[in-house]
Amino acid sequence: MDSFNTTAVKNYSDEDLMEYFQNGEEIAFNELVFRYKDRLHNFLYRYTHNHQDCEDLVQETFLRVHKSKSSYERIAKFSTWMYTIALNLAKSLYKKKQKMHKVSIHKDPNDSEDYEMHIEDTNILPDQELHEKLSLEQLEKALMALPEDFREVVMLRDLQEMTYEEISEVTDIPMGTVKSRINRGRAQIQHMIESYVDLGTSF
Amino acid sequence: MKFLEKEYHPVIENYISDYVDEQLDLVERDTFEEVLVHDDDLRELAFSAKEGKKLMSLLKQYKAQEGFEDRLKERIAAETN
Repeated sequence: MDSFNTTAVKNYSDEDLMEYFQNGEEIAFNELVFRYKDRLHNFLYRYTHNHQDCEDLVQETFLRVHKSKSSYERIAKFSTWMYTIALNLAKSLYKKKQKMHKVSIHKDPNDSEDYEMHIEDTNILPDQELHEKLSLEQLEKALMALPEDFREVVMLRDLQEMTYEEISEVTDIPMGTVKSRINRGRAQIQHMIESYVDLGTSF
Repeated sequence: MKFLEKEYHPVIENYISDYVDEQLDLVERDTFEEVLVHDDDLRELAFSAKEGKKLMSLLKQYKAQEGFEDRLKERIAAETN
């Protein structure tokens, strides 16, 4: 491999950067962080709904990439390897949270452990923006209301723009199942939003 | 929602995905839409999935907060030293 050129860092592929990082080039790691910090944040926020918890999870993902650099093999795409780490972290956090609280979007008044999901945002908005924000909140709720198996593949496809092959690798699910779940997950979201618009009620 | 419970042959699932992602060429799309005309559940699934994809594109994009990289560096330094 050629010697690392700091001025051309933007031109390297993810896999090249990872290899340079394995050879001790910390700048290569920094570039990977720069490339993926926002995408990971956008993905993992849907598991935490809290910026601080999300940042902790994104940091944890990069920390594991940093610590486990020697276990990365170039036969795998860097993003696939990293998203596998991120998804495993997100899933274990999600399971932990589920144990602590029973999450339901249909609040059960007889269940003291049941609570309404709150989408974090404290800004005060004008009417038009408020209407749009409420619709977006319904959309976020619809996404969260999907079964976990469906939600993760829909997010990887539509939020992270991963290919079906990459999603199949990250989730370790056959590609046919990935496609089937994404098709049904997207369809369910549309139906939940349609019900909300038709009935004017939360689902 | 009966159409969500139906299972289709993997070839049909591929067609639905490609239809939603607009990856079918003109002839394939016309052929698939002809199939959709005759299968209510499949049509419902394909159209809903297409609309669902559009809805997903409206979701807010969250970004890392300012100073993220500095805080990460501090954490890595603390945990690796």
